[in-house]
Amino acid sequence: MRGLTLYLRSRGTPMALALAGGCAALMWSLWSVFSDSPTVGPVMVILTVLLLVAAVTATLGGPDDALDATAGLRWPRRRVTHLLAAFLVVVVLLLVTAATGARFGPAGLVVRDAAGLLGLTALGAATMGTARAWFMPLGWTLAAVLFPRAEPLLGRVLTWPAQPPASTAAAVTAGLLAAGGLVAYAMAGPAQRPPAEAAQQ
Amino acid sequence: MNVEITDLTRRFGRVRAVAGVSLQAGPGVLGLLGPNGAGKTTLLRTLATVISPSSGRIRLLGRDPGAHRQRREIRRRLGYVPQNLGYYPGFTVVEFVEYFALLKEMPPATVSRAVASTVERVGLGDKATAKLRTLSGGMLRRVAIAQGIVNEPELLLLDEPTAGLDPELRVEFRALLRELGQRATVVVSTHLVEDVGSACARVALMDRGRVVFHGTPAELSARAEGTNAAGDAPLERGYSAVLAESRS
Repeated sequence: MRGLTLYLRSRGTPMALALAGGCAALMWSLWSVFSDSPTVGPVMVILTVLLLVAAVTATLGGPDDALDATAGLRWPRRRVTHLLAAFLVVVVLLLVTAATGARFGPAGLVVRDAAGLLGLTALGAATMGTARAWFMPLGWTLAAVLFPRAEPLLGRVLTWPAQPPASTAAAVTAGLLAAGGLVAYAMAGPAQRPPAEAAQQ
Repeated sequence: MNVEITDLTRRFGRVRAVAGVSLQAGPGVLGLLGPNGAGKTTLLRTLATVISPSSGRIRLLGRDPGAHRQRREIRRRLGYVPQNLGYYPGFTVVEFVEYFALLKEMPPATVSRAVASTVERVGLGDKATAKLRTLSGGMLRRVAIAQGIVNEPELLLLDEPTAGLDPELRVEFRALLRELGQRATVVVSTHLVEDVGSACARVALMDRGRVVFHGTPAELSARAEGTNAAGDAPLERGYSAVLAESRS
């Protein structure tokens, strides 16, 4: 238990949870104040999922990933647990609003986008490092929200975050990103910068 | 031999940071000397199992770090002190060292005593509950060393450990290094030849990713004989002579 506490603190988890909770509360408040509808609009839901994913992204790496990597732990197992916990945080924070006057949903949309965007972030962390991991989810989501395409199939795949919850193409794309990100991050962990001497010779 | 490296190469894109290094080390202190950019950090990170080699063969503590199960066993017996320590702002000295003791999977019942004695050993007993963000650069170096030795490693890898230490602490650190070298294999990278002269039984000199000399400090000093190599001390002149020869 002590090890888990120190691990979570080393990843800045308390701050990330506070930030995620704060973002969810802010978006909920904005909708409650400025809209008469009890159901939050899809664009607002998608952007809120993105914000929450960005908030937990920082926990995917520590202050010194090279030093962490020398630990004798079963890292893949711990990384999978970490990602699943992050996914639950994002989903639960939004789905609890179902009991309030400003509901983020439907659940299918929240679950799909949270899984896909978190997978994309994990993929980014494993390939580019944690500091840049949120670039891809941010760019992809904004492009999908601004230029949604219902046809052809490629359009639904490329704009999966903004597709309706019933879209099979979007669900499959999100599932693939989630699985790919989970495997890449679990096996490789956060990417590390090469030593300075790699550029000196 | 606790460290056996055969024809090790590590590339980053087109750059070969380590180029065909072969090296062996048993118990004692091995100094890894070389100018900036020689490949010392890459070699140490490879030995620390942080990065994998592009080609070549490594055996550490009689095990293959390429095999998952053996790599975990190596890591439990390994200590690594990086050149620059990451910033853990909310941690105290004790929490930081304790965290790495737990990451090394030390038995939880032994951790608090090991942490307390290690913090004392590096001279930070009076700063045990101080936050890392309040410490000076030299103190942070000692914290980094503490996390590297808390598990009594059989293989200890130190990357420029004396950088940022004042002369008094540097002398103390060399004594600690000699003490650690009596029980473990210690590989210490440095560009300060005086570190090597006073603490290392053997020395490997790297340049441009290759090992250009491997022997005792006395043998390195002897390489300057008959040359007009630059340097204030015999070891420095030997260092300069070998580098000049390897580049000619």
